[in-house]
Amino acid sequence: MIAGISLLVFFNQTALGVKLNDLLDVVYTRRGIVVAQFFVASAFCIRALKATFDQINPRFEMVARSLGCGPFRAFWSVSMPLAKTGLMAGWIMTWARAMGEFAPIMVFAGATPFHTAVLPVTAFLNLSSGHIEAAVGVTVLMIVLAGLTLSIFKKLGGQGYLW
Amino acid sequence: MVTVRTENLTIRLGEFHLQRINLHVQAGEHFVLLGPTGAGKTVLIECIAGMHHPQSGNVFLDDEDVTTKRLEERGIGYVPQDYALFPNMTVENNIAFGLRIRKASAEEVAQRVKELTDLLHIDSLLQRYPLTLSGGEKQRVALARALAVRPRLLLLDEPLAAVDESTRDRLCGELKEIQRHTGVTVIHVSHNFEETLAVADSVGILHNGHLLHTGKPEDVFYRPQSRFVAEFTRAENIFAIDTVEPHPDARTAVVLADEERLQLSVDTANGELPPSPTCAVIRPERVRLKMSSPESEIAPSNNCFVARVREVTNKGALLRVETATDDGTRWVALVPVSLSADLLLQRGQSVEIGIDSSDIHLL
Repeated sequence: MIAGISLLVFFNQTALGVKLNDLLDVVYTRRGIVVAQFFVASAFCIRALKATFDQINPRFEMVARSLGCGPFRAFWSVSMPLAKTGLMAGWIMTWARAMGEFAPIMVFAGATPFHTAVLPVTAFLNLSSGHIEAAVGVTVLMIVLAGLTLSIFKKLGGQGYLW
Repeated sequence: MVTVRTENLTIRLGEFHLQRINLHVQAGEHFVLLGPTGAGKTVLIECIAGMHHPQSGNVFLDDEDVTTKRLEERGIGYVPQDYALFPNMTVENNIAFGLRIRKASAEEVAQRVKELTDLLHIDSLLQRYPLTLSGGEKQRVALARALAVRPRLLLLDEPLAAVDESTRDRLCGELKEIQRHTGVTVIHVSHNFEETLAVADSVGILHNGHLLHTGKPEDVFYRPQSRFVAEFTRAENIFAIDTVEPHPDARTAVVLADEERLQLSVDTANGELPPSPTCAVIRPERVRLKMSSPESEIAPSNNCFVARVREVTNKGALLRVETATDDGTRWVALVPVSLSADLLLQRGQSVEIGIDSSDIHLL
């Protein structure tokens, strides 16, 4: 909720935000969903990437450089392959976190059905208006997606650093 | 093969300060950098490798100043303490990594990998992954990977720290053999004396960021230039000197030490008497022991003393015998186990201690 309000203030009340909104048209639009999700979930993504790269021995790159690689090639040839599964796991969990966002999206992008109402918002709107079956349907769909995400995460050797 | 030289090399890393290091390693030499933990050994070789840039001073390979050159441009092979084998690659791909980076042809890669795996006896490991290797196998693979690109200089950071004693002895011999075979200049970090004596052509002692002494192993161990080096190399008989009285024949001097309880006759024929010596150093393996008979009369000027055994410790092939004279001077001797039966060494046993005047080093 706070993140959504902060975004609204930024894009409506600051000079830079207003210019950006004129350019990108993000407030109460589908693009706003992406901005709100990115704003909230990017911190999780950065944390996951950091945890992955922190686990890689920095001497691998030093040895690669002593064998003739430049700094970028040492990173790309040695560290990136070692980080691959960690990065995949991190990205999947970040995507799952973004998919479950509710309040910031409702505040910043709105809750127009079939336009800016994402799955959690749709479940809430259906529940509020007495459409229990629809709310339960969306909820089941989200549970299945969450189960799938967790399975892929574990398959990729996830370390459980997101909870 | 390359000569390595550092001139006034100074580097500060946080609280640690490596100060004005002047090092000279001859081409084709196996140089061992010795020092206690935290002395700066790893920082120094990482600085020579190009991983840290010094605040001042220079690094030369032959006569080329490489101080500002990047790590990958220096032509250096580097084996870190943990070997840093790439865990997602097989042994073969680890060894071939540097060659493929240099775009060597498949035949060249195969030939060089075979050459090195034959030399290091690791041909049966080619398809294995590093996680499945023992410490000794990892060490050989890391060495093969570093040698594959024919480096001018090989830097080994405690390469034998993670292997057991018997493997270490075997690997020391092999390391020396490989160095002779390839002719590469080696700088090898260690804190193990047996390892050092087994492989070193020359030795440097580093302490608190200062290079205290460099020279041939026998110079550093038998003629240390400071009390720290003497203590660090386990010259256990170190006595503070009170007075030195040169003998009229100029071949010997009489030294009173250990609060004047100890009189030593020192050989000065080779002219090594320092101007104002502060310590007399006698290595424990140079202290001779023999059975003392009750009627023994010892003249102190002959560097012979009667002492009682206080402690006997088994050190494998040697016994460490700690003794004390009646006036309290403590002597430590290292005696081959084969002689211990003749000496009947046990606590309280009376023994005669003999020192050659040429085995006393003054500093």
